[in-house]
Amino acid sequence: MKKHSICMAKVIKNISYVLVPIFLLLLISSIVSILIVQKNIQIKNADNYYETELFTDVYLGDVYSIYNSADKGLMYEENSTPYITIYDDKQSDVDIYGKKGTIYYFNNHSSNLKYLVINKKAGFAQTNLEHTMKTDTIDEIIQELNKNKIYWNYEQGNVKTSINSLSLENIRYNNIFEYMIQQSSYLNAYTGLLNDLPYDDAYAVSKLECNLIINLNKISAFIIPVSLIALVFLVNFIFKGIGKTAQTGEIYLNWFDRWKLEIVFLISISMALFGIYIFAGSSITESITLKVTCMGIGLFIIYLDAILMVETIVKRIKTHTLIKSTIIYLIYKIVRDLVADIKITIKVFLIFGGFCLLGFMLTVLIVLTSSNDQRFLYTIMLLTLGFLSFWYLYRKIKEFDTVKNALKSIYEGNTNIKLNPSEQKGVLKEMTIYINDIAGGLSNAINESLKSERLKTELITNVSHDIKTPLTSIINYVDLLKKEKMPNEKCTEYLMILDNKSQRLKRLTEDLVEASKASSGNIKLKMEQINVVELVKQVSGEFEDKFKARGLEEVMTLPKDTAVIMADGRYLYRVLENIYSNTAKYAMENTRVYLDVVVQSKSVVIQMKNISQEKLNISADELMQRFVRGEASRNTEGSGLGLSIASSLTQLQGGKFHIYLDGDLFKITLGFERI
Amino acid sequence: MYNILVVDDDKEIVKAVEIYLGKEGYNILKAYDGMQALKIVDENPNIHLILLDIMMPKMDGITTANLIRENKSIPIIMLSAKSEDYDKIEGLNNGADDYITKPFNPLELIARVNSQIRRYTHLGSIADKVQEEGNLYSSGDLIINDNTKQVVVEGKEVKLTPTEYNILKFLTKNKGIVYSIEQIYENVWEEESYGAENIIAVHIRHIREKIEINPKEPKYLKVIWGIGYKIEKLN
Repeated sequence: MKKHSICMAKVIKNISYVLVPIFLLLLISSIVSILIVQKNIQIKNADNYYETELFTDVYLGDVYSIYNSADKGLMYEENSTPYITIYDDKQSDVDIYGKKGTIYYFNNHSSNLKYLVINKKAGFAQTNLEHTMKTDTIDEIIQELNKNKIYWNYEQGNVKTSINSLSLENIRYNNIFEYMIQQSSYLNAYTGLLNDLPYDDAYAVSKLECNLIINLNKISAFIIPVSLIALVFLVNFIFKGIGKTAQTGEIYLNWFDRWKLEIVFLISISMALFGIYIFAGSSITESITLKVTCMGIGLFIIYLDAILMVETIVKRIKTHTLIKSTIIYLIYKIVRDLVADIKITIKVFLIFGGFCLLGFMLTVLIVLTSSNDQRFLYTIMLLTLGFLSFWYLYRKIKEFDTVKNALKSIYEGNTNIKLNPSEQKGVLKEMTIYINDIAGGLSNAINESLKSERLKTELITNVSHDIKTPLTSIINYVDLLKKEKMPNEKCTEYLMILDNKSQRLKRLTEDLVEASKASSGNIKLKMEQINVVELVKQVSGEFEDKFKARGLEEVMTLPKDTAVIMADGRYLYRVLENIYSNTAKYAMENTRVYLDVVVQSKSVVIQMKNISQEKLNISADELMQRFVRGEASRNTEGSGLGLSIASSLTQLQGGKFHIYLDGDLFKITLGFERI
Repeated sequence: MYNILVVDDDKEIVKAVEIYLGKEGYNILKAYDGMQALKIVDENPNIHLILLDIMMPKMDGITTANLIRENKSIPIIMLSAKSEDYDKIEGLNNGADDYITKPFNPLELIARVNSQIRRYTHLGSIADKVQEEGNLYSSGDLIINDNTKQVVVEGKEVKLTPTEYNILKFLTKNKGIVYSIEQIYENVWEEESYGAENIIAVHIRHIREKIEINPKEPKYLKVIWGIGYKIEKLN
């Protein structure tokens, strides 16, 4: 099916090639006919060729020249030096209006116009009819001439004619006619055009052209649109059909299509010139048949050339090889590959060297030249060179800047960048591609880890919901048990352990969810201006009795300056709450706890120092890890997640969280940007 | 005798709630899913409060609350293991009057139930208790009578120290406005603060412990961390 349609396309294309010139000819001649008719309105108004000015002007002109020759003949005859010596034949002693005279015969086999001119004054006649038995006398000749359908006679001031446009009333004021009559009123003329115009003279050609024009003009309103539409369709068929092979339906390039485009152009131009040469040769010959043959062959060669060019160019465009098949492209590619292989240092050296050389040459020229105009030109060129190099440098630096900014943004953690390598060139292009790869890889890794963190948080949240339900029963029934009377001391002790552990389990589940959310950043922050001093006072107030219970004395050092930062109050409170709660649980009893708020030029630091109750036998890093607490044994309250949550929440709000351990000194600092 | 409907698919929890509330003198009706709850609500016109779990088989608590709310105004307290902020907001937006997270403190549960029952049954009489001519300041069910120096929260009188009373009166008088520690000090003591440190914060905590059912999640005296304190503007 497909093969069949491709075959059809080829056939249609070839038919189109034949039809195109026909429609083209029709179109052009129609347009020409319209133009001619526009210029000569009479053509349109006249019924046929013989009534048009095209005919009457030529005819009258011819009659005039006939008159002229008859007139001259007379002049020389009177001076008794006979002018008419080159005649083909003559008949003497003919009766010319009652006098004896001579008829001269001029045989002419190339003109359709036949005539007889009678010079009454000199008594002779001239004709271009052949001397036969039937044309021996004036009357016989006139009779012969009047046999023609087209005739025009002038006899003693009267015009007798078959053509309305040449009747006396129509040509009375014609310049040529007036002149004719004035000069040679003693001449009588009988003219006629041979029926069917057997000779290829001007009348024959003109009649052919005129009829063609008149006929074409009548239908041009139809032909022009039709041929235009036909041409559009045909050209479309041609373009579609070009290059298809029956086998695969792909574009097939033959040996000619692989030639370099410039060579193809050269061949095509010489072929076209040859065609034009032959076409122009038609002007040499008079013969219409030869002329038409020359024109036809010339046009055919040009058309063939056009087909050849269209074929190869369309094929090249279809396979995207039009530009690639040029010699210029080949040179460009060689140069480009050469340049690409050169090291960047050498490249810079070459470019800089070229710039210096050009600049130097121009400077020398400016100095050496004597002409002011040239000096001005060279100065302009030097300035242009300077400007171009500046512009080039500026563009390169800008490109470099984009690459640098991209790197910076990756460094700052924004991996969502995409550079366009096609905007860059050379080394920068390579760098752009590398950066895109790095950014994409990082971005993927981050997304992956975010996703897994989110899944983890979801899992933990769901599990904690499931734990909470049975835990509710445990806590409630332990509470109910506490209100019952226990059979012995041991039962009471065991119940207390149950109570403690169930409460711890409750806190653990709550902290677990929060820790997972905080570390995965799965929290929506509402950042606002927070007064750190106010917050510290508030939190301190919350923990006052817990500190008192363990004999801890809080020593606060607050700044005089305002200490305002950007943070989410609720979560910053959670951070401080965890730190205070940590201190309340693990600081040594009856010691002082120091809380300082330090305002620096660009930051606000909150610092909490206390003495640990237990020996700190682990590192600060380990301490921050989830589920690690100050003491190795885990027998007190708390989940061990507090500091981890505090650290995550601080970082989420853009702060820095540090723990310092020095012997039993336990120090936590929170740093925030001051505003 | 007030009737309370407890709805939870965990029978032991229902039982425990029954024991706690039974001791307080409430009559308990039990349901183990949303459908049962709807049926009981339809059959008993005399229910005063519903304790409703969210995650239940057949019909969840949110849908149940919505259906009950279509034609009843019984107070509903949600009782759920879902403890995220948006869980609470969803519950309160779907017809619940209060939200308690599991595992719950029995004392808090009782306090909240009592509060809702009081609101539902004696709404008019609470104001009567302090209804005297004079200076009354209030926000929601927190009412301060400046003539008798009485503070009543949800129908219950609360004993405050003079300093606490003054701080609470000042904040209630200007309810809705956030005051920093310094501003509170200057307005209540009427003198400039010289590094009052955390005295005000301690007082505020004490007031919260006295007037709030759960001081960590205050209803009236709110803490705006890093900015100050305010009495919430309630109707």
